[in-house]
Amino acid sequence: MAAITVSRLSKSFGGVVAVDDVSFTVSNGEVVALAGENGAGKSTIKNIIGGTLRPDSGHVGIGGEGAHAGAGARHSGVATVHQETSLFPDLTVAENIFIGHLRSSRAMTVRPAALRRATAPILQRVGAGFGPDAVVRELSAGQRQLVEIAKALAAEPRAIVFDEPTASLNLAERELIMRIVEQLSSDGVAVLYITHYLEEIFRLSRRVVVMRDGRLVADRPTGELDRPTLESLMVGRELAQGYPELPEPQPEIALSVRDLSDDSRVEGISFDIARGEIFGLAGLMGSGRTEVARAIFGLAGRAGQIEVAGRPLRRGDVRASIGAGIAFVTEDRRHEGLFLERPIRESLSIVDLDSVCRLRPFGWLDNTAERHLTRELATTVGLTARGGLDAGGGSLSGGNQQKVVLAKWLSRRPQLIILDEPTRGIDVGAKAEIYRHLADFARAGSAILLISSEMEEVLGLSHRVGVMHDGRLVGILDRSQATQEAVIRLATGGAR
Amino acid sequence: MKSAYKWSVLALRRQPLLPVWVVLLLTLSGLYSGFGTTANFRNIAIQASPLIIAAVGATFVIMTAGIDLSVGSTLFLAAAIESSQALISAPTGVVFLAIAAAGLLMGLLNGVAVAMTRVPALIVTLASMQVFRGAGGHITGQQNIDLPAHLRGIGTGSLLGVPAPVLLAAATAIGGGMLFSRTVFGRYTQAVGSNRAAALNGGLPVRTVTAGAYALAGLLAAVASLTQTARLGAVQPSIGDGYELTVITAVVLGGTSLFGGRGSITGPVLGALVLTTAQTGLVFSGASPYVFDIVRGGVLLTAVIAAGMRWRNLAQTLRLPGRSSSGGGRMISSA
Repeated sequence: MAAITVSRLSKSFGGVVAVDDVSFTVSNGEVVALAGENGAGKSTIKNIIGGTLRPDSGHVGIGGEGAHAGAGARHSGVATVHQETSLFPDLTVAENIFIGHLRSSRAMTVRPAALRRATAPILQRVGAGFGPDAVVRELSAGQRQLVEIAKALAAEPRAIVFDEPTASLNLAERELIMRIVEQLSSDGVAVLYITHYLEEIFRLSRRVVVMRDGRLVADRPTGELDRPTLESLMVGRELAQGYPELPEPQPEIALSVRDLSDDSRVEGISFDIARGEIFGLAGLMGSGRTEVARAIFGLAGRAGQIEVAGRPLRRGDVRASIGAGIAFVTEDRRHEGLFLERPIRESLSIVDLDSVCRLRPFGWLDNTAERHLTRELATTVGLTARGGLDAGGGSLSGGNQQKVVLAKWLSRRPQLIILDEPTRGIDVGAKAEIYRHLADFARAGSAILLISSEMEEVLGLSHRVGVMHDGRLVGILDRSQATQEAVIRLATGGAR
Repeated sequence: MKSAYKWSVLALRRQPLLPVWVVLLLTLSGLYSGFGTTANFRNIAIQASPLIIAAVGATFVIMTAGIDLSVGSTLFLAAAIESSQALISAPTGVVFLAIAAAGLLMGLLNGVAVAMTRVPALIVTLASMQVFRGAGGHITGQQNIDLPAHLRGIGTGSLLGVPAPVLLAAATAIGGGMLFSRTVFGRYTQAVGSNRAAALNGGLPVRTVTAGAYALAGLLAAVASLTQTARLGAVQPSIGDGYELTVITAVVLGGTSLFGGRGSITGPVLGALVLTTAQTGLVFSGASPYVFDIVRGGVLLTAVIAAGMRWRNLAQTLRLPGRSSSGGGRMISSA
């Protein structure tokens, strides 16, 4: 029996068609994956099913009951688990789970004991290693995602929509989430699963619904598809196969790190990167990869020595690091890399304004030079900005935003480019482009430090892979030794 | 014809306050005889001048996502120093430089405190607001102190028929506008307000820029003080009382986001002109001076609500050709 019936949904936003005549069903006990690039219309579908958006036409039926036109979906048996958790950090797990139902308790009082009693079995169901009284602020990203799922389960839904539930989780946590999804489906719950990770689609789903430009382009049993077919369905064209060919590293050492510490999480980190070499940094979430990057860039820590192209680097000083030729592409482009409400041009030129200055002591900007510079940078990374470079940074897609935060460093011809999760949340087409650019930068002589939670990406792009575990660099593997198994063994604290 | 239409749509988009001001001027001129005269317009321009000068300074602070509540008190303390024994008989140039330096220093105090500590600007300037006003009261003994003729000249003099305060305001607006949009400092100010973390990651001198914005605001508040006291002919204990509210309202009315990162210099200039015109209109209507406080509060709230509405929605309502560059307001976060 169909638990979710989506029939002929259409939705436009100010003339832009987001969803165009889409129909599919999810049966009880079935996991259906919803795939598509960013902007394909997945979120709109999710929001209509979840009841936060009203469709322009068409309807959603839940549990075979009458159609509902949007609002009040929670009460009709659908729950949504969101990508970014929407929890109250200072409340307990129990309070968070029941925050929407607190009012139903008698005399408008909250009864902690009753809350706790009601929460315990739900936590057990998701295999949580924490209790109802834990305060959310003290939980890890993965644990918070479990609370989010528990919250969805508390309403005893017949159908659950998962929106990128594993986007910010490490391998072990992802595994746990996937097991919960499998358990739910065997309990008879209908699951619509939205993700960018194709391996999750192949592992979990019985059917895949693929969307492109708001339209449904395929609704097929997962077993009939292979990875390249699914990718080309999503992108609408054949993708260049796999990863670009890596250039041969040069003999000169570009970055030398000795006994580095960030004074809190990581210590005793030592490694070298040659010019033209891509050094991958793998490890579980929280193993200290980002901390290493931040310490090298001067955002944290003073212990240890760093040399860039043979010259010692002043520690804890971002301006000195940039001056020495280090570029840092942050993992959080929206919050730490882009000026969303400023023209794209300004995000591109910000780290190299000196080069477009006349009358340097007064800092007088040469607009023509700036336009020239930014146009060149945009071309280098193949930026597609529909509104031109004067449009706001927030108008760009995730992939194009990533290109901007990468491109802004290029005019400085960096010795070392540090990239933290450069492909997080961007679609397969944009990923392939980023990979190609990385290989090009290496070919041009930059050293590259690549941090990624996508194992395949690290293995596919790196000359060597350093593996972090619990704040230490526990091993460095050559390309020939670096297999998924070897990396995981080291990352989880196993011996080499 | 078509290009003229296009141009006016563009101008309207960039500066929707301009038609508002024109309509306000025309309406008041129609309502009250004597309003639509050259003499009155000249008077409005002179009255608006100190507000324009202070608002240009405040714009830099608000662009960094900061706020300066001490503008009115800076104005008063600057006036008090001007009226002190040491300065009152000094030549105009010396007084001008000394007061400008004093304002710069007051602003720098705010700026360094905001940039170096984690205390919110609201609290820092709420404190300095009291300190500056107290210091001013201490110097003047809360007395009215008349200014000598040469200092009044800053308010009453003119060059080629243009009143001195208007010249100062125009110079501030043009200089401020160039600093804002054509220099590295201006660009950095906007970057810091738009995304502080990104500015830090880009190696921008965030602290220096922040302190600089407050120092500039202090400097310009002091210049505003010179024109204001010169026009009044005396230093009075009530100078600058509640002025910070008028200044902030002018800046916000001019389209500068209180959350930083978005704004212009022409906006606050027009905002100051609209507020002063409204104030003059209220005088003509015979309303009590308190009515202006009500109007100002209403204008502030309306301006903030209007700024929170997405430009796209507004453009759709008005059927203007769409613009994709807004990227959505930060007040109403994108879904």
